[in-house]
Order: sequence, then structure tokens, then C-alpha cells
Amino acid sequence: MRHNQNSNHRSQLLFGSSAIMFVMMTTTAAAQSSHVCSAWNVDRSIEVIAPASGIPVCEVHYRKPDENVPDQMLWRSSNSMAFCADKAQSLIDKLTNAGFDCREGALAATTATLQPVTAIDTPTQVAMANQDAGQAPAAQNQSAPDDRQPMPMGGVPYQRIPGWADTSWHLAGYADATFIVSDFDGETTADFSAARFNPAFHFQYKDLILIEAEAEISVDGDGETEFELEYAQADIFLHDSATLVLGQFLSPVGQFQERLHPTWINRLADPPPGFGHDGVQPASDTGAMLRGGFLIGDEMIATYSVAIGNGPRLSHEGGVEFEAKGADDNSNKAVSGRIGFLPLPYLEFGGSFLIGDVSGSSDAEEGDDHGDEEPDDHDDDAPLLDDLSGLMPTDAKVTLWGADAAYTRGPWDIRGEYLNATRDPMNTAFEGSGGVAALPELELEAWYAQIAYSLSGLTDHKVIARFEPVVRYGEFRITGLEELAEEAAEERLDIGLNYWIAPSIVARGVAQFRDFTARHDDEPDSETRFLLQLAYGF
Amino acid sequence: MKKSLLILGASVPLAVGLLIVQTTAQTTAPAQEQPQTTTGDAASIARGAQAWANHCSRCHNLRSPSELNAELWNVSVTHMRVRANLPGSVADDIKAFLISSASDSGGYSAAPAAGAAFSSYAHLNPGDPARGLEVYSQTCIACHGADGRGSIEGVPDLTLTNGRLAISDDFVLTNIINGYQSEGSLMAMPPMGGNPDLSEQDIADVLAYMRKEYKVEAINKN
Repeated sequence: MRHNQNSNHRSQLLFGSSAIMFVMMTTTAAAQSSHVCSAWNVDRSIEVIAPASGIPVCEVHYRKPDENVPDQMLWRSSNSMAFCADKAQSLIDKLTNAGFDCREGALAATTATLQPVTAIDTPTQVAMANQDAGQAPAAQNQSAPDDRQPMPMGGVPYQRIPGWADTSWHLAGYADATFIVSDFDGETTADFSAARFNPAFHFQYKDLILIEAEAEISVDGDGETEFELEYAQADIFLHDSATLVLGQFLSPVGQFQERLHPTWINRLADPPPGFGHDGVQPASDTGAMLRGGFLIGDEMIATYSVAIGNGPRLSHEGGVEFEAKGADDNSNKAVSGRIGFLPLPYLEFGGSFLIGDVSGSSDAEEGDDHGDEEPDDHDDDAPLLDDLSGLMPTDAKVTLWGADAAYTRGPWDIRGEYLNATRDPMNTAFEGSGGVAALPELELEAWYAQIAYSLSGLTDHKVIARFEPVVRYGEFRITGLEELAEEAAEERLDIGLNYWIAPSIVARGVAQFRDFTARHDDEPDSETRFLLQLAYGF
Repeated sequence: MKKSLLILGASVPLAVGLLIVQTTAQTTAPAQEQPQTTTGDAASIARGAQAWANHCSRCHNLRSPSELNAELWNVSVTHMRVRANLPGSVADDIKAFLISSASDSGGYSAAPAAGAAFSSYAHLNPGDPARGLEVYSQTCIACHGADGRGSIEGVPDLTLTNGRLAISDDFVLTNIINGYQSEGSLMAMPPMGGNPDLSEQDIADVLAYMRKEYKVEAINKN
């Protein structure tokens, strides 16, 4: 702020002195060339002026007589008339390309005060001229509202900023296609895995609110098109360090789900074990979240995200589903969040948590995974007694904690995460139980460590520099539910090679070695896969 | 009891939010009425270049500022402010840098087409290395690093004796002033390094600083 005040004072001094000098000099200056560019009932004048004093040698003046702005001196040179001629011609060319009709000639003289430049050959004034050439305003022009004088009744005059509206929007997202060759139990299969398209829509109103939503459109193995809502949220900007999020949002727990899961960001073709669907990584929730970050000193940043939502549900297998639902199956909301700390810009540590309940009521099993269930009217305080087992359904507490770290400097991208979730023992009528049954405590544990290195750190070669080898090792452990463990518990080693076609377009090949750690002795317990993938973030 | 806890739990973030809204409204009410708050002054652009290099690469490759136009960058960075938990002031700085370097920004025109004549900058004063250090430390350092070897992925090593600086001053100045993308590189350097408030003389000073500091002479001085 002090800098700005000083700059303002300096600018005022320069402006004043330069304006006086200009008035003195223009009385004797001679125009070396003069052009008028016309379009849409507006005229623009570009003149190369040679002050009689010879100091400077030349100036390029730009006039917009229909706008209430001072004339502009875009360039000047102390020793080269050719410089001014070139600059004037470049501006004429730019206006011509934008649809102006430019001809030699002069507009009637103006008495408007000239706005001077503050440095020889400075480009800073050129932005205004470029706006006439159909270009959106540069950042510096957006300060224009600051110059508006308050009206007597309050508020400010309406001001049209070319190229900008109160509402802006952006279509982002990602898409990928994958080819998978698998060797499992001596049988080799090769499939073009379903392509996936994830458009994300961002609508922003001023600097007050952002509405954003992402859908995932894909085709399953049977040819059925699947359409899922990944998130749909309103971000309300309350403060420099606080944003209120309402709606369905990606879980703030850990790094992977919220920030790394898009395939153009993920350094490998799929999530680490336990970090995808049906894992220990919470995917999303519906509710409210407060989040933001603080600068500590010049470089350090602390971040926080605290969410309250409908929370997890019991899965059909007796596990825990950490996916957003449009209704709650119990009266307890889940609280989750993450605290992050960056002591250096390229080093981040984070800690996450989630505390919630899952319901053992059979009503919870009636819904499907699509989140379209109606709120049930079951009274959780009066569970039904199962006549056969003599058990009553109960709720169970789910607690999750996690830690993550990332080092991202230059060509290196090194990161790791750990998540641990526990569901207390409970009674529930889960699928296939034939009634209410007791479930023991369930513990889900997943972790991974990953190293990626861009060869651009070694060479500037136009092809080699775009390769990036990646290695990741991860593990998903399940204790307490044998069937679930048999299906999903695994150790996985991924060795991949990325080729970056563009910063957000990658072609990759991955060799994946999976060991299923809870399979019975008579079942195959290892699989080798090769994945080829093209991913594009837009 | 459970419902009481539920109501209490739901009330806390809302109460904190309302408190912050009230506090913010008292101190920054006029700003709320303004269409955009990105000021884009020189200091903000310089901070934004550094913040862009620091924070965006925490999760993904840096996308070239020329990938989007100014309006799209405005929305995109707002989205990233939420996703990456960036303080609003940091996000505004990043916007200032990206918008000033965007494909439709009002800065310098695009780089000359291949084969086009490069400009002569003979009219500039001889570069001043001391002033060049000042400019380098405020803008160029974000991507090229204090040692000139590059601080982010894909930025060339300027200290190589046969590298990017081993060409004539006019060629280097043309590349910096108009912006440049090396053959095969994922990242383009925006015109004026993304800081349109710099003058051509500033760039000449930076070049003088780099030649002195990195001891790289032009192979062909023309």
C-alpha cells in the first residue's frame, strides 16, 4: 500500500510536469505521419510526432476522441525515428486486423490533456490501444472501477468493461481412454476399457460466488452409459481466508481424491489401492464446508477444510461407503476435514480426519448407490428386534485419520499418503445375512508412496525431456470382514512412463503387479496388467 | 441429545461464516460492489508469477498462460483458489500474472512468425547489470530461479555456455520482449516474462545482468 501511495505521488508529479512540458512542446511539434482508423462509428488517430526541440526524437500519440479519456503517448524514443514509425505501423496493422479501416489523414485537433508515459519506450500504455483491436482488457485495466466517483445517492456509475461481464464461466474437466492387457490365473485378456468424459462447469458471479459441478460420463462393460455427479457445489467467498462451500463436494480428506484423482493429474493410470471407489479414501459428501488458507510470513501457508455432511453408510458387504448421499440414514452428521502446512512452497504436510456414524438399520440397505433415495422415516431410536437372532440393529461409529506429504520441486514429484478407518462392532441386517447379524470391528488401512521424475531435469532434448518415469507402491489392508478382504485387500507395484504431449495431455504406459493378500489358498492371488492410457485435462 | 449435537455441529461453521461475513462487510463493503478486484499492478503481477510457479505445480504441470484467455483464467483461478485452499490475495496475484500473460492480453504482440525479421534494439541504452538484478529478482526469478538454472519443470538452464543466452543480444531481447517457446518445450515464456509493466530498457538491463552473472557470451554477436 505504501508502495502504491508513493507510486501515485510519483505518477502525479510526473504527470503534472510532463503535461506542462507537453503543452510547451506541442506548440512547436511537427507531425511526421498521421493515420485515422475508423470502424463502428468510432475514430482512432495514430500520429508520429517529432518535437521541434529534438528531445525526444519522436513520440507516438494515440487519440480516442469519442471517449472521455486523455490522449495517449504510447511510445517515444530518444534516438530513433524508425522506432516510432515501426511502433505506429504495428498499431495500425493491429487495428486493421481487428476490422478498422486505416488511412492517412488527421482528426481535428483536441484540447484534451495528454497522458504521458513515464519511461522511454514503455509498453504499459499499449494495453488500452489493444482493447480497440478486439482484445480483452489486460489485468491493469480492471482497476478502472476504482476510479469511479461515488454517486450522491451511493453506489457507483455503471461501467462497461470490454470483454468482461459480471458472470463469467469456464468449461473445464478431463477425459481419458485406456487399453488394458491382463494376465490373471494364466488367462490373458485385452480390453479397450471404457472411455470416460468428465466435464466440469464453473460459473462465477463477480468475486462473490462460484458455482461448480462435475459429471462423469462413461460406458460400463455391458455397454450401459453411466452418468454420475462427482460434485455440485456453491463456493461463497466470505473472506481472504474463508470460503463457505454448500452442496455435494469432493471429500477434503487426504490429497488424492480432492486434488490428484483426475487422470491428467494422477501420475499413473488408476488410483492407488484403497484410494479409489470402495476403498478407505472418502470420495464425497453432501453438506457444508468451511475452507481456506493463511499466509504465514512471505512463503509459508497453512490451510484448513472442515466439513459437516450426511456422512458414510454401511455397504452391502458390511464395509463402509464413503460416498455422497442425498439423505442421511441416521441422526448423526459426519464431520471431516484436513489441516495442511507448507513450510516451503514445494513441501506440504497434511493431516485428515473423519468422524461419523453408520446405521445398522435394514432400511439403510434398501437404497442403491445412486444417491436418489428418499429420506426414510425409520426411527433410529427404536430398532426392530430380529426374532431369529435375538439381535437389534445398532449404529456404529466410524473414525478415520490420515497423514500425507508431498515434495514437488523442479522435475521431482514425490508424495505419499496413509489413511486408517475403523468401524465399531455393530448389529445389522446386511445383504445375505437372512436377518440381523453381529459384525465385528472393521479396520481399513491404505497407503502409497510415489516418485515421479521429469527428464526435463536432465536434458532440453525436445523429445526426451517430455518423458517422466513413475514408480508407486501401495497397499490396502482389511481386517474384520473376510469376504471384503478377499476381494479387495492387495499390494500393488506400478511402474509407469508418461509422455507429456502438452502440459495437460499425457500418453502413458504402466506395468502393474498386483498381489491379492487375503485370497484363499486355492484361488489365484496375483495379476499382472499393462495399461496404455491417453488423458487430457482441459 | 444427538439432535442437539447435530444442531450445534451444523451451527458452528455457519456462525463462523456469518461472523466473518459481518466483519468483512464492515471493512471491505465497497469492494463487494466492484465487478472485479484483480488490480494487476506491477507488484501483484510479480508476486503472481512466483505464486503461480510455487502453487500450481504442487499438484499438476504448469499450464502455459497462453492456454486460456483472460476471462477464462479469471474463473479457472477462482476455482483453484477453492480447490487448493489458496488465500484470496495469493489467488488474485496469480490472476494478475496469468491475465497479463494470457493469449488475449493487452501486452506486447505475439512473437514474430518463424522466419520473420527480428527487431533491432540498438536504440536502447547499454544494459545496467545492477538494475537488471533488481528486475530479475522481481519477475524472472519465479521460473528461472535465483541461479538461472530453472526452478520449475521444463525451464531451460540459462547458465549453459551453449544455451539460450548464447545468441546475439537482439535475438535474446526479441525472445524476452515478444515471448518465446523453445522447440519441444511444454512451457512458453510470456512476453516480458509476464510483466507488461517492464520496459524494453528493463529487459536490456536484465540481459546485461544475466550475461555478467552467468558468464554466457553471445556466440554470434552480429
